[in-house]
Amino acid sequence: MLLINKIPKHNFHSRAYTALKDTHLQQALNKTKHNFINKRKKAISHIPAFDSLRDEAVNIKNHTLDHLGLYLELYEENVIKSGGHVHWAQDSQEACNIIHNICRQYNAKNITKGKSIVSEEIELNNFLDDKGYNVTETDLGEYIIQLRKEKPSHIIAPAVHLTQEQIKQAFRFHHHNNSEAPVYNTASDLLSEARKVLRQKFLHADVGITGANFLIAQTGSSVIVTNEGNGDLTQILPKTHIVIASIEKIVPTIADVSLLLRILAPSATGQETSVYTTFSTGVKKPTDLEGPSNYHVVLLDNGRSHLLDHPDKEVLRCIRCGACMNHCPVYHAIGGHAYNSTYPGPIGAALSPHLFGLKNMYQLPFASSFCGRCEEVCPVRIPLPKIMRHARQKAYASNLLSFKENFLLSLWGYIVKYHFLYRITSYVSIKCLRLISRQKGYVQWLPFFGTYFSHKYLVAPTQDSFITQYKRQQKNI
Amino acid sequence: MPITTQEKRTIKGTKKQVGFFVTCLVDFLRPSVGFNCLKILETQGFEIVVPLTQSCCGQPAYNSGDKNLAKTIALQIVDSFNQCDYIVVPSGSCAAMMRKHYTSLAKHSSTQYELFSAFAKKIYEFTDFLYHFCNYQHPPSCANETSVKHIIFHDSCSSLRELGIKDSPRKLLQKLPHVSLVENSDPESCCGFGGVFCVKFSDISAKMSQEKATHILNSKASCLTSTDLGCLINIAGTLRKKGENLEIRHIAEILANDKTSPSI
Amino acid sequence: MKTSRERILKRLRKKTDYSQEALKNVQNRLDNAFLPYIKIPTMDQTDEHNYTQFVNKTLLHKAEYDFCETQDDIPPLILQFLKRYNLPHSLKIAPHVKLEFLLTCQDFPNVKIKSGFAIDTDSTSLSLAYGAIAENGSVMIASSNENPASLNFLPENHIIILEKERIFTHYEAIIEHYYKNNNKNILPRFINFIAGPSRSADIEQTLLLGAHGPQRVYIICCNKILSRN
Repeated sequence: MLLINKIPKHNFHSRAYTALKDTHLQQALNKTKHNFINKRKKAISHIPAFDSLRDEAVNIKNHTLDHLGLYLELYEENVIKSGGHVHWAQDSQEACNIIHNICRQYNAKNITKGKSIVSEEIELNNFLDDKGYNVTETDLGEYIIQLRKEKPSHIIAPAVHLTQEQIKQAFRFHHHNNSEAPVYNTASDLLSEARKVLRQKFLHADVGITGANFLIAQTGSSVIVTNEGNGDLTQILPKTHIVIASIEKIVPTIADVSLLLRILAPSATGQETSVYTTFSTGVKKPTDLEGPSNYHVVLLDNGRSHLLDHPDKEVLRCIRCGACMNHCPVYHAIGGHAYNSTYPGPIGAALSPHLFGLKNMYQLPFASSFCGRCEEVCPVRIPLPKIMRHARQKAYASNLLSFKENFLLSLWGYIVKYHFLYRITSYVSIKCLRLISRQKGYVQWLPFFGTYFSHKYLVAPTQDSFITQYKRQQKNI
Repeated sequence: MPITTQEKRTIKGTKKQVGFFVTCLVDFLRPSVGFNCLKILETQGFEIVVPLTQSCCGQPAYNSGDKNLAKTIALQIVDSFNQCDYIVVPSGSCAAMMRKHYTSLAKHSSTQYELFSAFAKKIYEFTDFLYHFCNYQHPPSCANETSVKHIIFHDSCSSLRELGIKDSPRKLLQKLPHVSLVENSDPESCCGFGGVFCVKFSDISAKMSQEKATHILNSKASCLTSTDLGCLINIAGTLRKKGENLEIRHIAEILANDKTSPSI
Repeated sequence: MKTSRERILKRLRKKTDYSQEALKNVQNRLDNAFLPYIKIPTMDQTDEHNYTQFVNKTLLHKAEYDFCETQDDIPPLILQFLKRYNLPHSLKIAPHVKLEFLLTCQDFPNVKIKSGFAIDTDSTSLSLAYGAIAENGSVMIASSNENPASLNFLPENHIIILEKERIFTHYEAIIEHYYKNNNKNILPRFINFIAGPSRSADIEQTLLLGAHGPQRVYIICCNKILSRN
């Protein structure tokens, strides 16, 4: 169990602090961050038209969101035409209940799951566990964190916060009862063991649940993009395939999905294309030898439709590639768990307040230096800093900032607004700082600076302010 | 942002009024940066104005969520620089605030919006202005330099990503005969300053700054410079606490070859 | 009481465009459903160039690759592959009419060949690609009674037979071809685009081949396969 799980959920500061002190986590993060950045850089250097692709992707997403109602209805019509069912869920609870009812309808007991971040958003695993189902995550990363009873710390690399040693421990404990401790020489040994264990789960599953990277309105298909093949085994072998996807995953046509596929993998993993791109349509055909006889799609709203006429609508363009967190220095420092949201990193800071409430999530949009790298790499050009700034404005207006922060901000505002006051304050504080810095050039302590001084000194003034000196010069001329 | 030839033409040949926005960090912590900027700009035949009523650009309020306060401050600034044709700012961060963000403080196409967007077009970061609008020549004192100075240029996130400034400061530094530019291995990552961020989230900021500091030290440069004093005081604070005494200067000091002002 | 569907759609009717103009926009989109938004470089290249590009890319995806002139060259290549990796001499092949020649082939001494869908104990499977895409080096397999999708994922080794004339330039082109030539405009249950063997990087970002799907993918491209029907 991670230390972080013992900290109050919404205390971002303590969670971040704990993450910074977690040596395993820091070791794992150090290994991965440059990897993410370099791989994307290399991949897009081979795609000369990458920026035009991004522009088109923005157009596609904007067009789809503007016509979302029409496309969802068309999608539903085409799913039904191909023998499937569509269920609409307003919130997490409803989505979980729908899935439970489907499973009950087919007397299911064993469920395999492909990686789905929307299923994490609705906390489906806990719900199904409580209802007595036997649920197995089959993506290697998701499987590892399921064993460790954790949540994913990244939307495409759920176990990115773990070291190989921690994974070995989890496997020893769960696969070998911790006793006959096997020797794992390499990461490969871990993979083959997981493959063996999970193979049995695939073969005995009654229901397979996957997410969807895209839903195609034109054909009623759901699309998954994977590297392991677990998502495919999850939907080929069981009698029933359930897709859980949020409403903004809709794309109009084959041309639209093709274009988005061209930017997804390079942005996400730095691959030109993922190993498996699968379009699933309806139930198995009457002559097919295998495949699901039942196909259900659960469309989740969970607050998204409210965003459609909101200034932050652009956040719905997200295709969940993870590039923003892969390039975020704050994410690199603290990992995903500190955010206490299904969606960490910049997209999490922008989206979480809308999905899970500003009161719980308002600290996330503040935890950014606004370096802008997320917006720079976002394949669908979501203005993430702008959306985070909106959330800050709302947090300020809703009085969520602490008394100290509000006090300092108003005091500062008062001083800045009256320029003579600004001059006096600056004159006095320069004198004081020069005095306490004792000509060393830096200060080692000040009030209201929290833990700042345990890491850094503060450069001190060495002479009168620019304006003071400038005035003096002008007089002398 | 790219400067159009149209913009260049309107300035060359006429004596234009250039307002100098000092920025609060330069005003408060390193006035020498401001004086060096003026020294360089004065050689370029502009009429330089320094409105004494200026204070801060309002970014701390803007980024803390107090839009009204930010707007009040912004209107004051616009008023202070009313008569200027161009406003030069020795900081990418403040320049970006005024150039890219002021308009978002007013309702689209309102009178104030028009006021802010006209103002925004006059704003230039110091090195970008110098490179595109002026004919900067290195100061004569550079010729007397006997040893090569290995300088590492730190891109501030605002200059790099909000204003798209990457080449201008480097090209200017290359004009100095005694300077050799060194690049660090991760030039585009943030140093962890972020204004209020480095105090409010000091632990996270520290991690970012440590990393930046390591990259800079590994580059073996003898001097660090940047367009932004904010980044520099943040990195300096980190390095000084580690006991490192690398020379750290704002780019204006380097371009003016000012060696008398103390290193940050 | 209103259903959730009605509630969500009510919001969408209010917040998204349902005008006549919008209907026209949507119809226009559907009418051009297979037209790429930007020119894909492969569209301007010669077939031969695209063939080379496909081969290069599929090799980069770590698939193995061979070319042969006629279908008679396929059995020896399969045998070599099985021997190269010391694999059990058994094959589960897709019950495709174009692959029937393998069942009656004399070139497979001691190789047990069965046709049908894959089961857990199958070590090597063989299927027929619908085609391949030059733009990214992936192979498309469309599921049907003749091409069960389990063959693509369950066994550790997957051999894919590809006909050279079925190399398409880009995604839209290959799907449009399928759409127009099969099943009255309904897609098959599975369309699988495959770019090399299965892999995972979930353990400390180390790339490992053979996650849940095949560890080896062997593509045999044949100039032409003659179906006996």
